[in-house]
Amino acid sequence: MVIRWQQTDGMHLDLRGMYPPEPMIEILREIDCGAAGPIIVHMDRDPILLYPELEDRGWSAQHHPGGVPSEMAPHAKQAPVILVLKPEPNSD
Amino acid sequence: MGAQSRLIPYHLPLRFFVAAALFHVAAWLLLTVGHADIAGYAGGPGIVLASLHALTLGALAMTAMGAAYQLLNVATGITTGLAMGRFDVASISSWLYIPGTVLLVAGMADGNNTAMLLGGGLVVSGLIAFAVIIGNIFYRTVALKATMRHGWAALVCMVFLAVAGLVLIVDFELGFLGTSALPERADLAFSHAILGGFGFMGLLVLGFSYILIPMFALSPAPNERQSGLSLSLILCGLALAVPAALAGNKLALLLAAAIGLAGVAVHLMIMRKVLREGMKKRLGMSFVMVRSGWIALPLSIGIGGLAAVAPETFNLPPLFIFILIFGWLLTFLTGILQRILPFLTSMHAHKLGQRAPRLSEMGDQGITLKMHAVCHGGALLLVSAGIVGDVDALILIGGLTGSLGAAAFLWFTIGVGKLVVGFYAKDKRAQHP
Repeated sequence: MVIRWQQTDGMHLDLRGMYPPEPMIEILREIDCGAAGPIIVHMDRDPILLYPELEDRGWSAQHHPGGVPSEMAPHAKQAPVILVLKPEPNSD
Repeated sequence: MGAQSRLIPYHLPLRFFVAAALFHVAAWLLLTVGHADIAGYAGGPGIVLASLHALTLGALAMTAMGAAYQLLNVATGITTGLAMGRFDVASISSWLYIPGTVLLVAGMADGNNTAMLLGGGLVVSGLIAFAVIIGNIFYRTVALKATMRHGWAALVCMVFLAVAGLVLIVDFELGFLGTSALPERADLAFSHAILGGFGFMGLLVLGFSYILIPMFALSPAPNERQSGLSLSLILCGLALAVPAALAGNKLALLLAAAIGLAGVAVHLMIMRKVLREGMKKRLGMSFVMVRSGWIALPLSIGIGGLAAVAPETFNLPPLFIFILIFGWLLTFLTGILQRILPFLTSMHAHKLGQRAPRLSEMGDQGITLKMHAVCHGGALLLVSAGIVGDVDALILIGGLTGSLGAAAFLWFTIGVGKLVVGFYAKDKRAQHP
């Protein structure tokens, strides 16, 4: 189940506990539905196959510098992978 | 654990993929050279056997090994990094398996028993190393049950396949098969083909499909109960087919084919649902190949069943092997490989913080993959018609067409491989200007 919440730094999606390719589908669905970004995703593993799909959509991904403070996430335990997804400045 | 630590060195899967592309060309060229012996082939060493194994061991299993090393750790989150001293087991498997396949295929072409034995021993050792790595991942993975179950069953088939293969090689020298209670050589060879085509390779391919097809189509993971039903039926078919082939029991083989067809029908229905529900509808040339492979899969089982009951009609036994290996497995795997290779490159570009070309622009796909698809399809039709009609000239033209297609695929593979090598060269220059 996807848990989502809005913070000042953007929309957060908690995709922990999901297995491939479900996290990737949730992220791409969010982008394809017109999300403006940034989207911060909390995941169990690095979604390596997601990156080419993001590139195809004109988005980029960056590992969150230093992680996200645990009080920002609804669960006590911090996700092992936190990515910040943003549209590329020069994308359509 | 980050992507960087889970991505295995690019040269490991790439060496399997480049070797597979080279063996793919070799297999079609050998088929072309041996065109006059294809339609009436009834076993034994020579060019035809070499062509068959250049494809099964050289192209198909080689691709499966590279893909398993590249993708399993990414999909499961468990590293493939098993080590023996200073060397990792995945590298050791490549050092054993790739030269072993060269030696085995050369030995088969030349009828050289020593080369076949040595090559066969190296190949089996490489496969054992591969089995240890992926068995370790299967054991530690709690998710992706459909793929793991298929994987375990494939590894069990691999053990029987390897034993049967080595026995067949030794029998070339000693000729003990068919004596006392031992099966006839032709029957053991038939069961070896079933274990390889439907067992080891077939189950690996079907199992990986439960990860890869949803990944490429961007579709939810398939229903595990349905995939379990498909696997159960296929395993029942295999469990009946292998002893039936050894005993030469035609009725049991026909029944096994019917059960196998039912299992495959369930699998194909699952795959159809995955594609229907996928976010990505335009899947390109790779899925033309994947879908064509799916057509050839039930066709191969049907022809196999018919070949068991009426082997003298329309050269059905060699047609069965051709449709199984070149039609189903090769068509499907080249479709999958043309997606995996650009992903490999893109993943490593991301790791190095470099921009890769779009996936659809890598490896001159506009020329290479279209040329491969056209030539491959044409070759399948020509060689099949040549086998059925006993027309060697059609097999010759089909072999040449297939070789041209395989050369185009090699061009694609090298083109994509050069990109990833270039990324690392650029990274090295940036670090040591």
